Amino acid sequence: PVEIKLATILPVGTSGHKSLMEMRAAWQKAAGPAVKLTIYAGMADGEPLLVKKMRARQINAAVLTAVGLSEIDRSVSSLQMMPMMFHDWNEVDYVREKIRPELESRLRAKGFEVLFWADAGWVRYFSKEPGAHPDDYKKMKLFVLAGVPRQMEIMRDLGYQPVSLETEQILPSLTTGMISVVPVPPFLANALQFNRQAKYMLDMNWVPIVGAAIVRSDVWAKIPPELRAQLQEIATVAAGKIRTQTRAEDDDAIVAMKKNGLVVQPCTPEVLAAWRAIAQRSYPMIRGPIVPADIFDQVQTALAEYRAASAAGTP
Amino acid sequence: MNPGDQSAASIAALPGGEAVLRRWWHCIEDHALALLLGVMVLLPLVEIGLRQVSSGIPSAPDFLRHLTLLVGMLGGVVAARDGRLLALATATALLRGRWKALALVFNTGVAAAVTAFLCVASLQFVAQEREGGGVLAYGIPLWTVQSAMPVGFGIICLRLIWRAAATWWRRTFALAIAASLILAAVFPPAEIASLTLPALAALLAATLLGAPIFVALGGAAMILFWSRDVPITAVSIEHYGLVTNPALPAIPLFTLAGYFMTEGGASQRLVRVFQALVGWFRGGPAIATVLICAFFTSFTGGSGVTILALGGLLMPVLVAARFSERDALGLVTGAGSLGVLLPPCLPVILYAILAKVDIREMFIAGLVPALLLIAMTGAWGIWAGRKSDESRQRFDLREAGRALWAAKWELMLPVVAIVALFSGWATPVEAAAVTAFYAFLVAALIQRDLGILKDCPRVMAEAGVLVGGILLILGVALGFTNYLVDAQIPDRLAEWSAVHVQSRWVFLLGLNIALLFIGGLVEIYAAIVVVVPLLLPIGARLGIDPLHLGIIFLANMELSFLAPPIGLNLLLASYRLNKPIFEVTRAVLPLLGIRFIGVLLITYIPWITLMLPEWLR
Ligand code: NA
Ligand code: NA
Repeated sequence: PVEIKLATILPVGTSGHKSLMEMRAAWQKAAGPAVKLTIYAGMADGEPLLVKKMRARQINAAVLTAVGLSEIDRSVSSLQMMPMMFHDWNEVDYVREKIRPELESRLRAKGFEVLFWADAGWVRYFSKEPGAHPDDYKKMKLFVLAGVPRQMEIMRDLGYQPVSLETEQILPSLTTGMISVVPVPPFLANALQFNRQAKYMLDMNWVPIVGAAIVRSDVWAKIPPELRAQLQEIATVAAGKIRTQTRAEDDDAIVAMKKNGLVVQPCTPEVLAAWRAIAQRSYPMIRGPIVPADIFDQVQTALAEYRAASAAGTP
Repeated sequence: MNPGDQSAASIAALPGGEAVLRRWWHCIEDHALALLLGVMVLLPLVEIGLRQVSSGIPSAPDFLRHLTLLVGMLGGVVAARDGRLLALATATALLRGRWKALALVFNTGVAAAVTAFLCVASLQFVAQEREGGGVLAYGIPLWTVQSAMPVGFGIICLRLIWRAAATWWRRTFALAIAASLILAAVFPPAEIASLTLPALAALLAATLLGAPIFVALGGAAMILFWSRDVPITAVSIEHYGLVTNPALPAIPLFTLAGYFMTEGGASQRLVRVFQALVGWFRGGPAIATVLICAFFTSFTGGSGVTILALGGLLMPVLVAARFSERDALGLVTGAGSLGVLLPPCLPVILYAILAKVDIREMFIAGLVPALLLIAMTGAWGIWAGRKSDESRQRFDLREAGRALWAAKWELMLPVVAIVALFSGWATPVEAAAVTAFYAFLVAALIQRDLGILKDCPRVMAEAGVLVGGILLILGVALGFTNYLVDAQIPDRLAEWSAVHVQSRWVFLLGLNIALLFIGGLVEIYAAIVVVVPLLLPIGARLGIDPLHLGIIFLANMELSFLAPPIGLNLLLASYRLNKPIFEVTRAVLPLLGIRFIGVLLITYIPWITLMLPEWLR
């Protein structure tokens, strides 16, 4: 049988993991003993390490966010690493469909097939002190995930005080005051209890967390084409489910945190405009060094298309 | 225990010119190691300074992570040169003459074969990374730094064979064993499945006959991966991943701080302080012993350095205070492992890294349990010292003042470490650098125990050798753990426990007993790396807080240092104090019982551990 070893950082028991297990059951029904899918959930390794393991054939599939996917091909960072580029999920969905063939063919050129695309919430600013305007946050120390020096530089150039830390250091560092702002999606803030220290959330979509399940092309090719199409279909169904669930989970997390005293800071039009201006200033630093220039331009073209169409009332 | 002498002796046996060249080369290696560690100390300090005026050096953490890789590999290479790779000291001690030589040739053959495969595995890893095209910073390709792994393992392999014997034909014999093992693995003479067990058996035999611990773990990992048809590169990826973990530089840096302290005159000054402060009341010398041991171990980790450094100093003090020989021996041996839970002790840091909890929270969680164990040990000491009544010396305020004043800089060391860790202006790694730098200042500039050019490079190279030995073990141990994950052993254990272990109390009791055995047999760092990932999913399912699980685990490890038959403290006390191991074991039995009760209290009353961190959150 073809053995697919799929690793994910999703912990056992989360809704995402349950959906993957359902997909596994459906695959088994469709393929019988021809394909064996093993899911390694809750992998504590960082995403770059999972990519290394796939390259070494220790595992041959993984669910990754754009952080890991852009280790394989930088083009994927276009969906996650441009602040304020997308306003809402509709825009993300539209643009992703537009550039998907391009992203998938680039990943294929690096030896990986995309099983499905998924996402996991919008990054929002959680802070210890109230804040809305970008200048409010320039006085606070801002968390940046360790191992991404470029992001440090960008945030510094925009006038912020970034401090690079590991995820597990966030909560204690909030306590000691080493950092006071954490940009994370609400479900993560809730799960890791950041809201105990950072009681203010700015109601503004900074960047979406976007990801995909990928599998090594050489392994995938061992499955007969008809069966492959069938499995792909099942995966797409699972992805739809994961997407709906995670989007709902983010809203639920905000409700839960509000009950525990989270203050949601509204994002007025003036505040939004100020943030957009800041984000605009970061684009020249991102286009090229982080997101390949041609993909960056494709995203902007697609967005312009979408916005023109929705302004005309036909999205 | 002076392998440096052996290396000097083997150099002396060489013809003149070659010996001089070799000595020069060894000197270059030592100084390079010291230099790398020095940069590791300075880089975070510069970063802290720059952060006050700008946002610092964006790629400083990445450089630091890879400096750890370089220190680890070079430390391993130097350890191999001097025959100081950590090994189980068992059967070789029993063998004599020709048998001993034969055992050495055999274990070297196996060790060289394993190391050669580790070299190949990391070579494949570097090739893969080169294709991936990662960049460290400033355009330096990652693979150039990662090449330290294959180069290091290559040199270690050659040095193992070189040290196998003094004669060329014996070396050739070791080489032949290595070559035939490699050939057998590359061109298997039978089904791989049927070769797994014999291969593991050969590895076990070599380990018992003195092959380094990293060979045992790395070899087992590669053999098992081989049997599952997974490329052995998997071991190198894990090795690289762990050694370049962003929090890991804290381990070499705190080790260095500990070395500056133990190599300087701190131990004498501290013994004097505790003697003057608490030595005067009933059982006071026992309290002094317990406190000073905890103080030292918190800086030197679970390496057993405490007994080696202090055992000879404390025994006479206790005996002079009319403790019976047996009680004194028991107290020194038993106190020698206290302090494993106190900041900045390395096993706690390692657990925090593996369990993905914050280092500082782990230390906060360990504080009350550590004090409990210290108090219980001290209480027994006071009871044992009840006969010391009549010999009581008077409290001498002036002597206490003088002793405190003389040792003020050393006494500040934990204060520096704790303030740096918990004040909020430094990460744990930066706190470690601050502590190491402070320890250097005290030893070299203030107390002048160590000459800057004469002693410091030597002390730093010594620390580098220990770090190298530990990091080799940690890296390949995680490779072994990764095999367990690949074979889904943690999931199966969790499923099995879901069916068979309903109560967390039953699980914890089983855990206590299992860990006592594991801790008595396996090196502490390897035990943490291999066992902790197995426990985490079960603990999570049973609702045990990872902080509590960690403290239970480490308290058990601390206890197992005293566990017969081969707890590390028993061996070291027997070695350092020149007592038969049976006598040491008998002397430490009461404390073993008391500390076991302490571990049970910590295990079954989670509140002891969790009260402080929950209150502080
Ligand atoms: Na940490
Ligand atoms: Na302790």
